[in-house]
Amino acid sequence: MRTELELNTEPESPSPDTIKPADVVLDAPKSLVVNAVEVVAEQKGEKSIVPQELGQKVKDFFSPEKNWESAKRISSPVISTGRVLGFMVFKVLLNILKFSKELIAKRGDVGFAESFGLGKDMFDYNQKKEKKH
Amino acid sequence: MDKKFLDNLTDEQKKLGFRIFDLILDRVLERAYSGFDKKVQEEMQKVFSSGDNKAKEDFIKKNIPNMKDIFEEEAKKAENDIKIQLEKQS
Repeated sequence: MRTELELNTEPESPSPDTIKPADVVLDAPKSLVVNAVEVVAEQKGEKSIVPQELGQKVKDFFSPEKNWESAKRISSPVISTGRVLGFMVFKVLLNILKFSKELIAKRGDVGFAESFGLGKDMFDYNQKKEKKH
Repeated sequence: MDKKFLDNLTDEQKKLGFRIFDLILDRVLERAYSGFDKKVQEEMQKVFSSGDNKAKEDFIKKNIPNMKDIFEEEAKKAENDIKIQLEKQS
């Protein structure tokens, strides 16, 4: 059961400097990141000179999705290359998730500042109006 | 990058990771394939149409010997492109 003090305490907003990988994984705005990845993939895909079928076959060959599970059983240079590449990808993923979270935090501050500025202008406008009378 | 991080990923995030993997690999292939002459391009199609994994591995080693370096470069570029897109979207 929560005490009155706990109920009245608002959660602190996290600072980008204190974000840990686990926090990023839990809170990163997924749809924003998914959209960004899709837009970038489509931009490059349209210009491709590699035949689609060949591209897919090469991807299947290196796919960490298909090879990670069997990596423990089969000691193949190809699979280990696939794993190395896979780890590079997840490093990129972590950086993107971190970046998106920081971006949202930053944009949130700007939103507040803008709203505050608008409110202040309105307040000042009324004060100026009152002074005129 | 440790296994702990991978364990923390949700299924959606793993799926996103695989999508990024495809995106980077597309760029690596594009770079390599555009540098091949017609003969090597045809050889690549033939090798990757077969089920011979050893032949595929040998083809990569022979024709894209610096694959890891190219992949790393393209991963950095892709990360940058995605960050630019994120800034545009937010």
